[in-house]
Amino acid sequence: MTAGTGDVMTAGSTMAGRLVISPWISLESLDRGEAVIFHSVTAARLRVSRAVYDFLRRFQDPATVEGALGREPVAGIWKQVEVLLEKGFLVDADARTEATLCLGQRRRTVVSESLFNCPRGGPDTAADVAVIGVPYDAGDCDQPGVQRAPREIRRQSWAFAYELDFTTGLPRGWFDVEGGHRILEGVTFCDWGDVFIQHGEPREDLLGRIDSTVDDMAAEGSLPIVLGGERDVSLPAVSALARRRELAVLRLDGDGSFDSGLRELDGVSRLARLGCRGYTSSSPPEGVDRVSVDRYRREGLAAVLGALPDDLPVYVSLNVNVLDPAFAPGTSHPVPGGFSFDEVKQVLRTLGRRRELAGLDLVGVHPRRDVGSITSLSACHLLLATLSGISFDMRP
Amino acid sequence: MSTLERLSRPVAPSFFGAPWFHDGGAARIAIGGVPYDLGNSIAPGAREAPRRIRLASIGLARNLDLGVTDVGDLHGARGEEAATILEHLGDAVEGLIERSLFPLLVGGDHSISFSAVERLQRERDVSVIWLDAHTDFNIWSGRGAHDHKEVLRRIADLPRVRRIVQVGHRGYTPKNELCLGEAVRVLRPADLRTGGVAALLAELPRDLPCYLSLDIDALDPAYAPGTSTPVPGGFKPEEVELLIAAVFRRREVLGMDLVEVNPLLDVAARTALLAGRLLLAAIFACRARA
Repeated sequence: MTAGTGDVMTAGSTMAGRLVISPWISLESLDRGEAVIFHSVTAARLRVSRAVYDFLRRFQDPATVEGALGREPVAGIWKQVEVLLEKGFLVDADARTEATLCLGQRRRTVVSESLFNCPRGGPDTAADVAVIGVPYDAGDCDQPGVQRAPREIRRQSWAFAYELDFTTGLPRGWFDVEGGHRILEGVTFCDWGDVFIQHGEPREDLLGRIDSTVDDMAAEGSLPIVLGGERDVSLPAVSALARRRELAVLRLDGDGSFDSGLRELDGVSRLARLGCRGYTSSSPPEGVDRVSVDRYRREGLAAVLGALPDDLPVYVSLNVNVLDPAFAPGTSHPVPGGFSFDEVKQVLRTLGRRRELAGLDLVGVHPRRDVGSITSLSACHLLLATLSGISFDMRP
Repeated sequence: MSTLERLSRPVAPSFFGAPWFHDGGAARIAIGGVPYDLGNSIAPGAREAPRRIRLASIGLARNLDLGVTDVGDLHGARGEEAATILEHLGDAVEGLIERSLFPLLVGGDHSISFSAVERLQRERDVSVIWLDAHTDFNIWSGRGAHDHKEVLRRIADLPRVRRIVQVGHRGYTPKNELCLGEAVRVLRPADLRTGGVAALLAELPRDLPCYLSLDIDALDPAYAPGTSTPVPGGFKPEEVELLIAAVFRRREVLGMDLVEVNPLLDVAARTALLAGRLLLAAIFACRARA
């Protein structure tokens, strides 16, 4: 965590003073033996014994630890207090700015279903793949609705439940029918939930939050997957990754416009576009390699790979509208004349094998416009296809 | 001048407007509905399909003598125990076979196929073609009736089912479902596109008559959205029509079904209309053979 609440939580002197339970603490479950407490801002979750829970209840008003213990010792309590302080369940009662700092630090919210039903976590869980949702569409003024996409994509992803092998304890991955072999065996996934969004806040606050979340993921060595939301969620994600390493960006999108911004980011040395077709009012910006649907069908994947140097990691932004609306009806900006599902799947499968991937986002899914949930389901298939080509043990 | 002459019973739509068997229809191809979806654990609605497909089929083949008779819907498909219903379906199929009629069943969910195959294989060895996005090879508990995910394994266990070819399996699954035993071959959409229909025919021994089971989810959801478990990357209608034509032309076909159309999940009857067209393709192919 960055400056602010993290420093307030250091043990030692804080433990000697008065403490109080955080205003953000909630009790998730309670039985005779145990309680699970939850911090609704940081999404920290802790299982504690009944005795510790009862002890915590004595801090509803400010109190010292000694005072709360009274004459009843609780085994290992000082260690527990340290943990409770560190995770923000107990706070310094006399540091008055804590509450507002905490609100300002609010980064993520919890989601009811995680992607593939994988474990949830955050900055301390170092998984191979980390997922973050951005349920935001205020930028899509004419076509709102993609804010519902992260939820629907996660819901459909449960058709591919993440499981651990009983003997090894490692993720089992999935069987790829087309490829005829298992994929993603041993590759750990973690869902960080959704980015916290304060309705009406300045866009740059939200974009900053996406940036720092993706930055945290990269710091953990995880491959970030961003579930949009509108197209522009790519910008802060790419920005965070490009600060660390120079990279190329591949945008799959049926719409020829909306390329400005990405190319200008520091650290982005190439921008390639796949799937453009139709008519747009603006002319293509400079320095962007465009592979239209027609050109791809004539020249094949070589046209795309040719635009992406093999020594640069690639960030892939997949807008489902790169598919023809027949295959992806649930999209905010449908464009006729698009790719079939098999065509896009083939590109993504091969890309993962031929280039190092720095990150991935999935945007443009509009559940309300969908037929059943086929677009969200197809997005899950394409996500697995992209990941299937990656050699996770070879990543830096 | 008051009269009741102008009031009469409305004509209930039969498949393609074909004559009803019970009114003396004497054609060789007997098309019947099985409004049963107790075998579909995902979403109810397939039981509406026979009625909706009949409605959708009305305009598709006017003024053509198709050589088809509509034998109606399986009676009592609602309200009884699942296993009993499937047994009654088997009896009905046997009744059609005895009269040398070609059974063309419209489901309902995929579990109904067992009833037809079970009767057909009593007299002779058969092969089964299973057009489906899924392998339906889960293990059945043995109690009550099997469901639509267990049906093909039950069929595989029948003594005189010698060969099964699954066509259309795709996507990502928890386990490897490509290897389902020596008698079962799984052809993915890419396999069929690379090898053509010859790839399918190569897996079907010439001397074995076959049963053709078509789950509408074998087709891509862009064409057949009205089904409970769509999987992207499926067949186009023309690919399936070619396959049907080739199977009827090159092998003896004993019966056929078309299942898992779910009108409650359909978009503007698109799937029901498509089902009508595929049934027509089968009817023409069947007639060409005879």
